[in-house]
Amino acid sequence: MELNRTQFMQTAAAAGTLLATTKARAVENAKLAAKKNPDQLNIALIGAGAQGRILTESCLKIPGIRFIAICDIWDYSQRYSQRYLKKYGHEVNVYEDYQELIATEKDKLDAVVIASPDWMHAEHANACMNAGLHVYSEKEMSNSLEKAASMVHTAAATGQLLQIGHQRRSNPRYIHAIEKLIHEVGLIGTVTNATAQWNRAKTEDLGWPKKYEMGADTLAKYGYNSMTEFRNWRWYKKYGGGPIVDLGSHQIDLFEWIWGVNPKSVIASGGVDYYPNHEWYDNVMCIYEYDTPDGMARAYYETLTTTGHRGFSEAFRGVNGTIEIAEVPQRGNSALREAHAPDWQPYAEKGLINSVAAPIAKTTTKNVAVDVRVTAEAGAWPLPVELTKPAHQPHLENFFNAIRYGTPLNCPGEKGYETAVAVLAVNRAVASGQRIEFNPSDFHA
Amino acid sequence: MREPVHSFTHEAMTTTFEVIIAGQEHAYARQASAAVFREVERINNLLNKYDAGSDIGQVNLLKADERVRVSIETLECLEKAIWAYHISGGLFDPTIGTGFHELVVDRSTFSVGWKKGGKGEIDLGGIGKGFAIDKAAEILKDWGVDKVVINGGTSTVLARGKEWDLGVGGPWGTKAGFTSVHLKNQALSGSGTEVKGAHIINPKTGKPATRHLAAWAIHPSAATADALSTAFMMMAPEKIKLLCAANPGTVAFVVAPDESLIKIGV
Repeated sequence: MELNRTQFMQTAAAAGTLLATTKARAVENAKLAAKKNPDQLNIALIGAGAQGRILTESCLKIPGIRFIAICDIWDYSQRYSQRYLKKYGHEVNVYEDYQELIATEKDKLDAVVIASPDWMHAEHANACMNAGLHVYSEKEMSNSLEKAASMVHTAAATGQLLQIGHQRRSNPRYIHAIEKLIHEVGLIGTVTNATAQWNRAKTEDLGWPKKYEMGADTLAKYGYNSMTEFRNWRWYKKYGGGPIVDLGSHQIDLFEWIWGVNPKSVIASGGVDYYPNHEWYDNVMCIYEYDTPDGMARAYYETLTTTGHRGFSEAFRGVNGTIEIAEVPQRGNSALREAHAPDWQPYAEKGLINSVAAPIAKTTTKNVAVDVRVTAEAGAWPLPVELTKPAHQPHLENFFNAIRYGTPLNCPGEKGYETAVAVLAVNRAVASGQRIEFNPSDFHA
Repeated sequence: MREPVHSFTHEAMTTTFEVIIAGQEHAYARQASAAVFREVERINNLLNKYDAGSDIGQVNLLKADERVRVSIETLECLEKAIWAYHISGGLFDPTIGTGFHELVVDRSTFSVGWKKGGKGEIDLGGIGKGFAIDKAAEILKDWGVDKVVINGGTSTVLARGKEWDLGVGGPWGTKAGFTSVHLKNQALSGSGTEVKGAHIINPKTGKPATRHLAAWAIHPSAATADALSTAFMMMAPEKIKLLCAANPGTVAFVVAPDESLIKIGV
């Protein structure tokens, strides 16, 4: 099977082959390479909460990455991450104030991973880039487009790398499905529609251990109204964008990847239907229109936080078939052929998809002129590429490879901004009850 | 006066986990139990052999003489499994005879893999639930919740902070007169033929374990109790006695084929 660039890089790295080529490339890109030592990138984490821990665990599996500092305003998170990293032999300096971290550590650092609440991403990322540090920032770039744009501007002005955490963009399964099967091979024909959802069963607000409750002074110093709001910031307008941003952003980002254009409009419905103490919409449904080179395409998206029905997955629907996929393969990992589509067996023989048992065979019914039945059920052809790493690891590897070898970023700030424009518009559409039309210029920071 | 308790459940690791908390307000107990369940999910994401991206999924995809970096928790769980493998004479075997002796666990590089000679297929089903319970119990220390029972699908249960009176279910326990147990800062794990039939495979023979009808292990660590109860199903009582004597704090209850109850280390 022919590998694309990302798969090639991963295969090469995993097998330890082609080391000479990689080293040569590192030398060629000496200016892009790590400031101090490309064999060991020194990094810091700003925001050591739930997402920061996931990214930390993935970073620890990548060779040559060393944590030297962490920052969080909550001592509970500081303590957890410091202890966790110590188990791996990473002795880190701990900061409550990110400015102090940057001032003290910037000369030793190559990059910073940012997983703070959305409203702080821009402030943290801009300060890091202005100090000469590369940045991996969690999505959403911000809950304010103005702040998101400032990150793109800072990256351009400083020349620092800015990767946004839409990790599906580095997932070999998604790269195979979208770039290989849909774009290159045309397996499912013209894609006229996409649908995706991320639905979760109802949950309680997050609590906190009593002995680690932050004082009102500390909370106020960092802009949080209460411990409840700090722990559940995703539900409040000041700090986040709600479920459409937290969950939807990952999947709505894929629509642009599929069609190569940003949406021309969005309509949406949603509301605070179930959780009376929350500010953001707990259930949101929206429809985007994409004016693609192949004609008009539409995408439906829903995020429901009151039912787990259908979980999370995406479906890209073409005239010859549908690709069902999800970050967890058990929830979606196959191509479904339309009955009229050309034979897919040749694609299976090339290893592009796995073959399956034939779909329900047509049977002949005796003594009738016409056998009326529904279209034969599509056969499900499993996708052959596995992600044999935690979901965020390839995206972090792409970021570190960009620092070391000049590998192009899979989701640079500009791309993250386009998605932020599309996604944040949904909340405006819900609030106004109005259809939102986009201009192509809206997507340029 | 009997202290009120609050109990919460969560589906994970193809079973139902339950947290029972005493001495706390309901809302706080619920939040603490949610933290427990998040930790169980985190451990499951590392140990789940059905996920190619999990640590164990990756280890199973390796060929002989290959290594992969894994998390500290996976290292700890595998080290405990190796201990149980040796102490049980190979009867607790997460690879069911396919090559656990080929496993390499290297703390210095945080990597796991296989020796040059071959590889096996790891399934931590016989220890993972207990390990997740131990890890979740550590989280509760932060929450100041000390009186707690964490129950992993009724097969392994950890009781902390006070003496808990726990029922021991199953037809063999009832027939043999083993129906309840008092535990404090101890875990109890049971294996037997009643829930799923004879589902434990003896790695030496490749056949279902039939030496005993049921076996329970008590140990301060839930992971250890979980692994030992599986091994006890296949171990001769004399061997279990030696093991319990060599490892203070280990207790065994075994229902022999004649439905008599053998108590060891009590």
